Amino acid sequence: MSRGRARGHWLALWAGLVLWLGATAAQAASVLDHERYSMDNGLDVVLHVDRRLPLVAVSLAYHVGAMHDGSRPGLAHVVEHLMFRGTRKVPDGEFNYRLVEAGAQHTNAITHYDQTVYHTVIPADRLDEVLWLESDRMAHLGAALTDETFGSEIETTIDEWENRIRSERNAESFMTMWEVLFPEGHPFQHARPDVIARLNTDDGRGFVRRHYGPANATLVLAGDLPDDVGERLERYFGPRSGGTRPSRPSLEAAAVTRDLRIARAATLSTVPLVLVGWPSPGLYDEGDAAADVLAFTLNAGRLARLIEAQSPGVVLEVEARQLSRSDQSVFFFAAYGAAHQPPEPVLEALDAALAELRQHPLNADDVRRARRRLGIDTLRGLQRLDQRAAQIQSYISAGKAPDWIDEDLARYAAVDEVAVAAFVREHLPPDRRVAVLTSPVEGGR
Amino acid sequence: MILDRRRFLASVGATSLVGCAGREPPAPARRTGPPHVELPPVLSQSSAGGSRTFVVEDHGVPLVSMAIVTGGGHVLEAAEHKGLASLSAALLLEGMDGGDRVQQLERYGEFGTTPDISVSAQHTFVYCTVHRDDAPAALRLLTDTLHRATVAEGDFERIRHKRRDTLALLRGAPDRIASLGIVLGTLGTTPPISELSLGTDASLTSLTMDQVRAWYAQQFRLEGTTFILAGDLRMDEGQAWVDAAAQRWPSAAGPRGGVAVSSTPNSNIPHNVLIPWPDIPQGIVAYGGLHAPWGDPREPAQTVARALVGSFMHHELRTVLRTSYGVQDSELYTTRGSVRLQWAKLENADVATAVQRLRERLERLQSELMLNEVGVDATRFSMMVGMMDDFHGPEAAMVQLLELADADLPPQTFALRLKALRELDADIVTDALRGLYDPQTLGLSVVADPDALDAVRETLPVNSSITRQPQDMLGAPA
Repeated sequence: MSRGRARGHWLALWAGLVLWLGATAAQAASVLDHERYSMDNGLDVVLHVDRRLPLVAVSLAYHVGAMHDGSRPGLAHVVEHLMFRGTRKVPDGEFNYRLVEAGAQHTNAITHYDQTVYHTVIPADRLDEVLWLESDRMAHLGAALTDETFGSEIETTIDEWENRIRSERNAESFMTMWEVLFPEGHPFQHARPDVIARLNTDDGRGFVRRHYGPANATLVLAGDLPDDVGERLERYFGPRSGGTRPSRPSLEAAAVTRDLRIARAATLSTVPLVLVGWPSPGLYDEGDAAADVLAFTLNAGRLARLIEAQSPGVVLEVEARQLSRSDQSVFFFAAYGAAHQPPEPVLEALDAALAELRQHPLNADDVRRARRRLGIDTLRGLQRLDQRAAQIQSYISAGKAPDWIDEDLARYAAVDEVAVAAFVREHLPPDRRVAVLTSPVEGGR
Repeated sequence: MILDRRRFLASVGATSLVGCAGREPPAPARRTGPPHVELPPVLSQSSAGGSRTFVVEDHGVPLVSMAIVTGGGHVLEAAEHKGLASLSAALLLEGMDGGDRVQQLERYGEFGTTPDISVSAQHTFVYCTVHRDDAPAALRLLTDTLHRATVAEGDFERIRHKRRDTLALLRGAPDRIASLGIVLGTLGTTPPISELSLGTDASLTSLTMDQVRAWYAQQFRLEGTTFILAGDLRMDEGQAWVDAAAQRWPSAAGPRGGVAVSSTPNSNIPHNVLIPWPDIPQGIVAYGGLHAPWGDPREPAQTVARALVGSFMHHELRTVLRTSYGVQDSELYTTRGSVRLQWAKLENADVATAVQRLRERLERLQSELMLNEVGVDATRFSMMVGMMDDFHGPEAAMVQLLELADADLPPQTFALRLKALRELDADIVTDALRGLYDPQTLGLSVVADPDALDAVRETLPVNSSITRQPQDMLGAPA
């Protein structure tokens, strides 16, 4: 390709991209207008002003998560729980109470693979209460840890597993697929109860001492911020110190070298479930947007219609999904069969449809509509202050600018039917995948 | 989590003292009054033809969420046609103007959206979210969706079949089975499936396409319809969009049809419903009953009371029994009103203990003044801020307006509810709590392993419970 032609191609692409973004993206960057700076102690601060309502979303991320557990699987998650159990100054039980009393909403935390985020939404006139509480537990959790609180949160974390996995209808099937793709020792491996039970208080203290400090944290405040917000942050977080960012472990998925099928029975199921999964490109990596476009296009009726035409009455419901994670994602299909039927015909029906998909790429109009929908969905994810704070944290965690929204929209704009076909060809091979076939237990309801 | 005043004040003292030390950041002074709460104005306008428009402006993102709330609630179904409203609504999204579902989705797809539909006791809603530039055209498409359904025979049979499969799926959902146990224990209906808008295998089998078409003609009238718009628009432009869309509405012919079912709860059956589920990994304990609806003056106090009881039980279950998710809230819209329940998953071995603690706690609340101003204040403040937070963004605001339209309430309802929350005190909430959570009348539903249920039975008064099999709660499979 000559230089001139390449330049022409680039300009055409750019023009198309601008046309597509059009009004949808025209205001997108300004939606995440912000000021970002680093305090002397290393605390990364992002301030986003939005005066629609007198509310502020507070999101404090420590850049340490489940993939940094190393030889102590489950530790990051247990520490996340411990952060709500009080300090020397805030007795056990008072943290949540004080937030409720201040009117806080959506108070919670989540342990991702690469970060642990604590978040709440607070009336603007109660912001100081949250800043002080966050500052207090940043500095004083470790000293307040006792064997009793640690032990009780071990129990709670294990119970969370029981709630989420053992007693949820399809969770064990998903877990089975996940554990084949990310086997023991992989940073994405989920800590099972017997492993969590082996953690001890010293593990927790060491983890907090190493990683819970301002130099390993990003604080995002979004909403009706006071003019002197910088002074307030200095007052509450200025005296804090410490925090080391852990090194990033290798995240390559296990190589799936064949068409691996696993059969299992489930007590809670009343219909058969088939999961088919592949390792796929990580969040924001090349191929991630094509995977989203593929999943959306298939879910918009195309896949269900294809299956119904080829295998009438076999599949009750089917979904395709790119489960995006930093560096390494999973693309999977979940297909539910009709009641009292075995799962094998469901897999056959799904395979027949996928064979057709490999032969005939998606329609260009379908892809265009999917892109448009994903653009709208990106804006839908920025309606609320807590959503904005979470999106900013996600971008920062991936090494992007806090207002990377236009680039985020543009990566979808660059996906066409050829890119989707390439994704299918490269990442969804029929002979290298994991299929989990779940049958309802005989006599199920 | 609710604490007493002594502990509350002690913590204030402790934090004040620590605040004086070294470079340690000072604790902010504890604020005792309600936080500053503002609600965006709800704009309303009536139109020729008997419709009305609700608008909330939110210019945070260039999106508009829109909904049309019209007739066709499942309360209007004839007893032998259970599931008609829900099935008819589902068919609205199976194709329009003679086209099929995919073609319909493609038309919405041009706006980057997909339509959603739901059915309440009183209404059918259809709604979506689009870029503001597409809003007028999208509202016209939404209007056409209500009136130009294809209703092809193949789609009718497929959707009917899928709904039977959904019933089969629900048979494997212990939380839903537990919810129906609450309906049975509260309303005394046998089987409680009569309260479920999905219908039964038998009623679904009896439905015909002609009944669906007749339902559309009878129920989807412009008169009484509410158009809802929330997001990046002004009232005047929103009304213009609505006027253009309303012109496409076909004129009504014949009577509206449908008679709302109204009956009183049957208080003669036991309120405790035990549902054995062999080998279930974790049991479910649920409790609840009828709740005052939105706009009812009793509702704010009842909602605060429900939140407080949820906190008490969350504390009992999370701290004492280590149930990590504690208590969750659910609501079921029945032909006899809204049933609110709280439920928790527990190890089978802990189920009887949880039931016993629940009953003990509720009995104490009947006989002692347990609520204090501090706990009530914290709860109502949180609810006040929650009301503000519920208006955050076009989609959230649309949901609030849907509630308003569904209950046929005026726009000032939000402000009145906020005022009521400002004025609540512990005595009012205590009275509400005692009325709602009387252990003699409260519905209790337990899904658990049979051995665990034997232990539960021992904690209950003699002859105060009935046992039902899970499959009985959803009607017999066809």
